[in-house]
Amino acid sequence: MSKVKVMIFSLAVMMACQTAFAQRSRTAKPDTAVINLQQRMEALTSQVNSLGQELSSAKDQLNKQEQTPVQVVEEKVSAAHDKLAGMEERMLTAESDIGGLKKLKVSGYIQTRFEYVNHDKIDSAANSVDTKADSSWFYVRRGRIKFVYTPSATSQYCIYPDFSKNTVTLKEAWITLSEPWTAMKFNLTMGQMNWPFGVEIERSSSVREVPERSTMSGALFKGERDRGVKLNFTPVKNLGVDLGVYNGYGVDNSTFTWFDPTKPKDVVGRVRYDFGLVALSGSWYEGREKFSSSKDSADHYKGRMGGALEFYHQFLPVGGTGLLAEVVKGESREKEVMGLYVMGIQNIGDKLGLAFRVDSYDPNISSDTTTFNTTAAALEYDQTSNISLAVNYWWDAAVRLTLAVDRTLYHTNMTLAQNPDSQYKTYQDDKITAQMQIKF
Amino acid sequence: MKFKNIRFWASLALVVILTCSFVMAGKAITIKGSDTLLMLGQRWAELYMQKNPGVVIQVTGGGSGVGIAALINGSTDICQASRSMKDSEKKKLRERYFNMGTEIPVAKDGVTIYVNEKNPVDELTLDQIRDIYTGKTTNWSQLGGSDAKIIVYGRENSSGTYVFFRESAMKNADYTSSMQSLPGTAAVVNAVAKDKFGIGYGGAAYAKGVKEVAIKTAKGSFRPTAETVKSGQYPLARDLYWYLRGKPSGEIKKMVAWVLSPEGQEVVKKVGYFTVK
Repeated sequence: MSKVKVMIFSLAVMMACQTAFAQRSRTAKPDTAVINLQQRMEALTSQVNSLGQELSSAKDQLNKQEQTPVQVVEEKVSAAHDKLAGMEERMLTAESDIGGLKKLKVSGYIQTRFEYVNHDKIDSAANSVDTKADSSWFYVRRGRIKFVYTPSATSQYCIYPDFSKNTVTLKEAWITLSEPWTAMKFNLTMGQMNWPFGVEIERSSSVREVPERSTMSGALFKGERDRGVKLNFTPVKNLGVDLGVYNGYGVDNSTFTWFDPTKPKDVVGRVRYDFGLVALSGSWYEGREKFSSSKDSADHYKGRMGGALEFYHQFLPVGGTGLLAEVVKGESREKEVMGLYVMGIQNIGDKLGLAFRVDSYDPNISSDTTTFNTTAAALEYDQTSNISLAVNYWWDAAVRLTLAVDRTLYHTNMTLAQNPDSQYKTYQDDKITAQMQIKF
Repeated sequence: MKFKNIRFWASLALVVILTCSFVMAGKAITIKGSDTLLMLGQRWAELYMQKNPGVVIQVTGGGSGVGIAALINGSTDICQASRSMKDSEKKKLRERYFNMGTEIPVAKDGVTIYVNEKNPVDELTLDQIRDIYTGKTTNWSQLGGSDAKIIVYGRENSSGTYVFFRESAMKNADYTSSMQSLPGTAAVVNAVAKDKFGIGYGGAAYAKGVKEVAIKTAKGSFRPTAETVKSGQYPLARDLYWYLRGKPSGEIKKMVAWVLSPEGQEVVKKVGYFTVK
């Protein structure tokens, strides 16, 4: 056989075998391939469905994601807005409350003292002998708190109690109406307040450089306050005018505790011009008074006229200098009365201040005797003089410490039986005062 | 003399001597008060301390009222105030120190009305400003702006600017209760810069990031410039003050002289206020 024939034969045999094998294979496992194909198809279908679901899910999520930030932000903004509105409402309420509180000003001061006294004066007319009784004590001189409420520029209210010496007393209670229309600034005040007379009466003891007011003010304006009505205005710049109508007895009168037994009321006026470094004032008071609560007790004329000088300067580099002087002359119990004081103040730096005051009061300047009041239980002296020296130190913004020495001289006319050696005699009291004051 | 114990007088003399020595001891210069002047005071203090080594100056704000109270009670040497002292404050100062104090105008200012930069409103009359701050005008559309509620910002009542603005722009009328009181001019500017419908007021030096509104008067429309403030054409022009307890002395006197010198007044211009001369 030729090679070609062999090759053709071999090819024919191979094809026959392949066909036979293929037929045999089809005959032997006819379902396996289909199953495989079906399984693969099912798997593919399942995967496609799964992908479809995932796609759908992804679409849903995508949609959700597209919507969520907007909704969340809107919700958050809405919540924040509500919170802010709530806070704003609360803030406005708080501001309104605080605004109300700001209209109420609370101030006050406490003075606590130690006093040491060399006592030399006569205690009373009925027992008019020298009773030298040295003594010392601690006490609360003043414990005051002042409430001033100013609801608007046109009105003001004040109540001012004092809690010292084991009692509570009302120092001031008044209402002021202020007119808003003119440049003269008219203020009308009614209630219990200071007499608008001179300088010392209205000068608060919280700023005074010596522990007590002058004898003159204590005798002629006891308690410094009264019940009445006062008109204050400023006709021109730096000029202050006060006109008042008062009961006339003052808040410390033990007989007429709050009422006035005289029908006419006492009137008081004051004019003060402030030049800057110097201020001058003139005051006038006129009224009537009774000394007994009985109905037939007679009225007596009561009058005072006063002038005051205030001088302020600064001597560098020492500190501020002040000079206050006041004189009052008047009539009381049908006798001429007169009092005066001169006080010099020198600050040394911002913390330390020295003060020196001389004052005198004479209840009867036309005579060296006090015979008009010999029946009274308490002896009145012909004249009382006082010398005060004080050192003040401002511990901080609120606290001031004071150390003061006072010498008081009582000049009196004695009967020969009381004092055989001399009809006229001067008694002398010395006092040391150590005071702590806090002011707020 | 009845006091026989010499120890008392010796003790008294000792107390006086010790206190005097304590009072005379050196200390830092303290400056307190107006928030309007705070920035300027700090700049002055920095430069003065650079030029005068050894001098220590402490500057704080708090408002003119706070500064004046501190001057009266002795807790500051110099009070910065954007308003004049009231008579009652002068009285307290005189009661305590026996002099009238010293008022030194150190700079000039024009109280500026701020609105947001996006706000189309460019000028207002004093009557319009008063109506806004009293609550009579509440919508920007009433003033030529957009239809939106006016948000009113202002200062606290311890501020001198608060007092000056009420007296000068509002003729002493009360501020609207809806005004938001902020603790400093910088806070007012910040609030207006962020609030499209806000309005505020304060010193000219603080007007950054906001729009200055011109004030329209019968003589024209004026913004706070050196010319309009010094000539008085700008209706809300004012002096800014330093207050001292007494006459200036020692280092304070030197510092006051420097603040009023051309060098010190140059600082005024750089900060954004106007010179006194």
